[in-house]
Amino acid sequence: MLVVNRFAMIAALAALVTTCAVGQQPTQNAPAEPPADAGRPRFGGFPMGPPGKIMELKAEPSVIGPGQSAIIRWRAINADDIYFDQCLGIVPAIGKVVVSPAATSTYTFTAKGRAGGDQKSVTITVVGTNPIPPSTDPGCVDPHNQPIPQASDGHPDLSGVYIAGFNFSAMNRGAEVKPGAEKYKLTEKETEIGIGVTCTPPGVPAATFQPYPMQIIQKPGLVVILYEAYGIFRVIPTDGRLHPDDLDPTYMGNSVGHWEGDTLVVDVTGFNDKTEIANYHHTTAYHVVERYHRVSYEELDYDATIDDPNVFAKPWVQSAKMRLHPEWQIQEYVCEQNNKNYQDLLITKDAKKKK
Amino acid sequence: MIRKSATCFLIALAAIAVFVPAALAHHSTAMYDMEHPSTFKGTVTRVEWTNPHAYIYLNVKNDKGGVDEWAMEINSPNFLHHNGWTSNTVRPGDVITVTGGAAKSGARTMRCTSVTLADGTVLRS
Repeated sequence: MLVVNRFAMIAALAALVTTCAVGQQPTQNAPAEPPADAGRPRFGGFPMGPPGKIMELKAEPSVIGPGQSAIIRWRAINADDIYFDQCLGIVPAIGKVVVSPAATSTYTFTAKGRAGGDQKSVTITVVGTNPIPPSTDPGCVDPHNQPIPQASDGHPDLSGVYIAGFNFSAMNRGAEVKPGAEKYKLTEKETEIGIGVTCTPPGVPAATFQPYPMQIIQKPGLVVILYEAYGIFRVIPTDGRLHPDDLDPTYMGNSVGHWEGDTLVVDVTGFNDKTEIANYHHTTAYHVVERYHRVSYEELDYDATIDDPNVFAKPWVQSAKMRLHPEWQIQEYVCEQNNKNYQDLLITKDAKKKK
Repeated sequence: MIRKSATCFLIALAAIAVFVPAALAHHSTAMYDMEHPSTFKGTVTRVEWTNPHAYIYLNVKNDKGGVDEWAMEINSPNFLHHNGWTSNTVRPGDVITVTGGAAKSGARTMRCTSVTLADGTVLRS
């Protein structure tokens, strides 16, 4: 429900901006044909669709003898939620798995996208056996509804791959700029192109809000977060230690954590002034307190209390609901590999004067 | 007109105070006209399967009877894999149709939100 409400807010804001926009005319040749996604709801300028679709689902071989194995292969497109029944669970968009059913079994495959989904089944016949019904094990019937894992030290285990950026968006609560601090506002040019175009780390909490996954690795006394975007990491001691004195200013700051009940609280300080928050530069006085609370198997509530007495009138909160993706691995992301010169695309008056 | 604009501005300001979209990867899309999608059909000349964004270069017929090469920006390979793409989904010589926001500057580049393959398969990008 929360997601739906946020999508509704996004759609309303997008409609408002569209209504208010004046003088925006397409600068290119007339489209050759109507856009394939015309009329679909839009998410921050991106369409919601097309719907999830199963392109391939097959068993190799589809007939086996008792005790033999088969491989199920699949490929789904445009889907955010992809899973099998029969205890195979949540799977990536493209994959294969070896199965050894004791008797003839039918595997149902579902691929749900933001604009609809698809479902297909594949049967593996085991010679000399009768078909068996799908498992009624609760963990197999609903792969999304698992218990929250517990760590060996009694805390909830937050370990897993999560994403906040695409399916959920950041919410700001109580942001108020300090009088006289407008000088910290990003310039038109910086806002238009985004300061991440330099491939430098986005800072905290912006690293969490990237449309790329991050992996939390939790050990007793230690939490490590690996961010796919920009290939950055954070090491967060939770053994009671304090921040070192005289910290070197860094993009991602220095983190120490502790547990408050089921919530991991992380204090972050020691930042440089090279990242931004809510379209404002911050200073080296920037300070963030993060709260990670796994509210269900699949959802983690994330809050970041933002404070910079040079820029903001009071601390304020940015938050997001993050979703677990047990089927994903974070991948290599080398921003410098093919970073383009986006300066040529700038449309600010300042940029046009220089042309 | 002025009153309408002022009202819109105040409402938008109030909304932004409550809601701020998540940071987009790497760069803003403000330089692309995402609110007025364009669609182009053309022949793929090359593909850059790279971070931070993959690119499809497309030869598109212009209104002067010639051909222009467009740089079609799509998401990162990792995102594309999650959406069922592989590095061989689009190859040089393929005739495809892309939809997205063209650069407001007039440069021949676009941020694509969907790609339609020759067989009609539509992939978000």
